[in-house]
Amino acid sequence: MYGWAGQRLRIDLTKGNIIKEPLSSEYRRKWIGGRGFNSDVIYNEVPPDMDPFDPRTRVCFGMGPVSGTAAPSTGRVTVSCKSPLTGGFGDSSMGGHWGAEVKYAGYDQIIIQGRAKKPVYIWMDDDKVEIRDASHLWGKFPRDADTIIKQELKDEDIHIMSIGPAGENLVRFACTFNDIWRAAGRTGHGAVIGSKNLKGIATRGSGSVKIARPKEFFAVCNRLRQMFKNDPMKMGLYEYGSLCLINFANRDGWLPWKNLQYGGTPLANNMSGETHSKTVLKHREGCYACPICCGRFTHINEGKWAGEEFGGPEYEHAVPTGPRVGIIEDANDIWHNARLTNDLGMDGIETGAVISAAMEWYQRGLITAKDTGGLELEWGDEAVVDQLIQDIAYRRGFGNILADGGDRASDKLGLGDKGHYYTITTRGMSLPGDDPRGLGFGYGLSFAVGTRGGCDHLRSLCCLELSGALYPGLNTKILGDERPAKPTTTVGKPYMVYYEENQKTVTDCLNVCCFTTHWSYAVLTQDQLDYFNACTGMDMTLEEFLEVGERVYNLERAYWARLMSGAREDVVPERFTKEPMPQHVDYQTNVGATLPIDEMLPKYYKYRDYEPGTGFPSERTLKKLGLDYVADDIRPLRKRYMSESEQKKKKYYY
Amino acid sequence: MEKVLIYDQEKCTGCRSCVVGCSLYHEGECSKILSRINVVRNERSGESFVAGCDLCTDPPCAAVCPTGACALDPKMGISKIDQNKCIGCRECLIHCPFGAIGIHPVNKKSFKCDLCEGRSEGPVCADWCPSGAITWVSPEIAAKTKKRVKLQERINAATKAKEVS
Repeated sequence: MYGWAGQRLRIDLTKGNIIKEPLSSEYRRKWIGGRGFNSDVIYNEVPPDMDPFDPRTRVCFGMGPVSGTAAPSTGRVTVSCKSPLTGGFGDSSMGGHWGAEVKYAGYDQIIIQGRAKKPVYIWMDDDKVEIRDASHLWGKFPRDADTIIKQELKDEDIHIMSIGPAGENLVRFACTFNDIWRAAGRTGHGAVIGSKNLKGIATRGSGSVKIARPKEFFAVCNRLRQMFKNDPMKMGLYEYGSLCLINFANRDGWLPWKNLQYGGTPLANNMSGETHSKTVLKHREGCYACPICCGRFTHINEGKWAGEEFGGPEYEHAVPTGPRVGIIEDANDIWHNARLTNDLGMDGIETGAVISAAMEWYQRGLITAKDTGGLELEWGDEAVVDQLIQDIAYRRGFGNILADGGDRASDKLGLGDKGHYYTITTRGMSLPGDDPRGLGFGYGLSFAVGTRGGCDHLRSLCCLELSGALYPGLNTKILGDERPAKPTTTVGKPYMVYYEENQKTVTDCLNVCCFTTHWSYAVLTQDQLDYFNACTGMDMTLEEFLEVGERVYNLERAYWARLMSGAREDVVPERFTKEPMPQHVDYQTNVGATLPIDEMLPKYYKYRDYEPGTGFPSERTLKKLGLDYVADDIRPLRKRYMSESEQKKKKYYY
Repeated sequence: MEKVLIYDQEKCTGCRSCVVGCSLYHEGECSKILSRINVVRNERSGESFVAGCDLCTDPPCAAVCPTGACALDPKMGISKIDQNKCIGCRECLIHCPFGAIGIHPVNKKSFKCDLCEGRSEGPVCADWCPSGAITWVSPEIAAKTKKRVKLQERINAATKAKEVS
């Protein structure tokens, strides 16, 4: 067996069963790995009407065929489950070294089901797997749990996946960590893992990944690594981390200021990568086999939070509990908040987003200090943000309401449509710290249609749009047209999103990092196929390769269809269509912009071959992709989706 | 000038590109334990250290080898282990000050860095290192560079002190 380990591990925590299941060659070819394996399991084994906290629900950790190899950045893991935040399909991916370690231990995927009677953790020592008591770890931060487990197992070199207190307390946007700091942030599977009384998985792998054509594989990897050496994108990310985006974001008006009311702030440079590197950077960090190394390790030197240190932050991690809630003057406050969400085990994006939504409700007079237990939710008040983050994690007071996510909180407080207007979500999940009125209309489109709700910057990750202007000719090479390189145009965007979604899905199936794709000329899709083929010995064509992405994507879309979510839910928050971008920074380039989503959606539907009325994947496409059983599943649902009673329902989450 | 491998621990990001590259180049498989070079990570404090052969001119691994399997190759400037003579006693593993000796999981004999003998671009680890923690340079140039770096650090510190006062 080359590339894949060829088996997956299924652990039933109720019964204490540990089962190893072989993965057939056809199965591997059909789904490739990682997100593909996970999505298949979630679709088949977790019915759409099951409660996300039901013991029978599954949490899957997927690794890919090239995980643990010398291809660029191969330590990633995709975590999937039915999301407790959106109620729909949810997955998220994390970097670090744990994914490679699991591969070396001999597994392509781990499926967790059932619920342990008391807190446990799993110890995988190659093929020996045991379930151990974790009562003493419950309530601990990931960093402390990590230290204790390593001492207990007498090996400092093992790698550990764990959740924090927020996951244990079923905060609906709790996340999963590995190597303490690397988070799979979105969709809230940390809470699902917590509901299973599982604290973490410690892994030691002493095996290897076998390569079908080692010389060819080495040559491809070597070529790509040489490309990265002089790559400007790599140099920016290595030097300043993803915070290198802050000043660009501020100029182009997509840095969220006060819940995306504005696209920037004059003081943005306080938290830029340049400033971070000069003031609080302790070390640069790299995930497994990464040629970029954008990871940071921060040590706060002065002020109230002096002495705090943590791994991170990244752009998307720092922005929500920073400018999005109106904090920018003292960047140490931002680093401190990022440290807090890390230690408590929550998605930094969702945490900042719900707090900023609450602050806007307060600003607009929808809620008062009476609703918040006395807290005055003024923009930029660090003391309030600090307290709310902790209250959310421990489900105390007003934090307990916010811990269910923005849209649920709005309903609990009875704020009606107005409340939902300010939550900036799609399908129940908050958008990340990117305003599509400035970042690009392609991103805006993918926020509307993405298959995990709120859909985040990573679903389609239109790197062609973001870095297109830096690399002349890149868009032409990939899309055959240079015009889509401009962020604020609709030209070519429907096809770009369609292409990028398939491409990023297959990237998640390989489980390599999105940063090692065509942000620059360093790694094109053909290069990914080259190393995939040399590694596994398969001889896929580019068409078949991208078709796997399309298959997985359509399967996920069908999962939503089974939840009665389709065309009517393909919307963006009204703020982007109704409020022209106001000016807040002198040199801002996107003043007056709105997101012309309606111009793009119909064309996108044509590329996807979604049905115009329902927005469900068409029978024709599903059959072409070998998903006949999915076509059978959703055939009877069309009529119901179009029925009058369904049309009247307003759905924010499921 | 002969080149050597220089490790700058301050710069190591712990990404293990060197590890996986070494294993693939020498063994045709990707693994941590098959690599001649290793990285020790301390996730909690964010520190990483690279443990590879430091090309001693008077190598302890050769000095303690009871069979003469491990000996300095004067042409390459590195000690090498003759797999036919190695008896797998692990004396070299215990005495190497840098943890640069590995034990092969199949034949249980010692193995170590051979500078990717014959590779025109130099050792894979240095070639692939994204942060400059591992460099393949002549020791004379490395020493000169280090002096300049240290001097610059002092100048920076003095300038900063002046700004503060």
